Amino acid sequence: MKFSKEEKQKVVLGALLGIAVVYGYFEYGLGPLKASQKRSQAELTALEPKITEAKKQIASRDALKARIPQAETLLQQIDQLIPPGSPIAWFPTLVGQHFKSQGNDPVVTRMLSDVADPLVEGYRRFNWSVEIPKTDVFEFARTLAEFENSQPLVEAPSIIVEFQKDDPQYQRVSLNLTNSVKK
Amino acid sequence: MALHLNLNHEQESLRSARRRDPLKLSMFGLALIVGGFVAQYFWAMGKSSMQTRHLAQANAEFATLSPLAAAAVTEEGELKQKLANSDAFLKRIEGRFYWAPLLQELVTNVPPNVQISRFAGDGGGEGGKRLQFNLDGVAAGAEPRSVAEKFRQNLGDLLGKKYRNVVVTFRGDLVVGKETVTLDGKEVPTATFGINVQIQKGDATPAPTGH
Repeated sequence: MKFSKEEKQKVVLGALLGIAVVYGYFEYGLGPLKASQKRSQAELTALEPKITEAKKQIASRDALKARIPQAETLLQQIDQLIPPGSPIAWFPTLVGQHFKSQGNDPVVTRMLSDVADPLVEGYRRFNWSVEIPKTDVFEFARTLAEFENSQPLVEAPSIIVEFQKDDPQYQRVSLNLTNSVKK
Repeated sequence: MALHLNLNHEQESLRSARRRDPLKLSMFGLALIVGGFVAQYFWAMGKSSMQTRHLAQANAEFATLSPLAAAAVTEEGELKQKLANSDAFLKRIEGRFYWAPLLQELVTNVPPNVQISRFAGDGGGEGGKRLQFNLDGVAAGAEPRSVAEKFRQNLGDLLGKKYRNVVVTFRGDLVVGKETVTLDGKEVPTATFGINVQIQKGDATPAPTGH
């Protein structure tokens, strides 16, 4: 089949039009659409872990919330055990009254240190030295047991009991006590 | 043979030329392609609009969740602090070492031929696993060293029933002095001793006593 000159021109024109349509379609039609699709897919992919993380965060808070009433009750009970005011005003009196009531007199309580509690945020730890120069160790042990049972926030990191040579029925007690107080 | 003249041949060749006009044919082809493209475009647009809808939904969900999550983070910090405080207090209260029962145990179980002159107890600090105390005293008897040794062993057995991993050892030498005491009407020699006792803190079942 032989094309005339005019027909050849028409074939070339048709081919050019075809190329223009294909180019125009991909460049200005499908291309931007695909790019927009890709962008929104990327945004969606980036958003999904954020949504999952947010949901996880809320769920984790809710799980913690379930354990809170018990902890709050304990903390309230602890706070109720701490008298108001500066411990220097009430702790020596508390110790003195307890041990003196059992016949240990004198009882000398001195504050050794006052530091922020390293384990419990919002509380302070006070360290005290308690001297009871003359006591009967049997009686003292009983009194100490009562004190340890009635004061759950007080610990005794160390204790020294010395038996007096000149008066062997009495002993001298040096006690270190630590207690927690709200800031 | 009869001569057959086709007088319409020019019209026919023109019609035939119009039928196979390359421009027309390419236009048909192009229209077909364009039709395909349009269909594909609408399909892609549908997909894209669905994705956009999903994205909008996700954005809206995130916009709702984001402040809630931020509040949850802050609140979680406070809650964790409360729980940590409560746990620390509980652990501290439950992990306290009670000196009074130990003192009572000691003073009621010291035999008459042993006299304790000093008791020094160290709780080992908070979080410490072991506590220790030192006992200084005098043992009296015909064989004061044996009396002291028996006291050490009995002390280990006694404490081993109540505490875990009890280790009772002499500190330094057993010194037999020139001093004597009257025991059951007899003058007997004495030996001064120092004993160190180590105990594991905690309330678990007592472990076998070690010396």
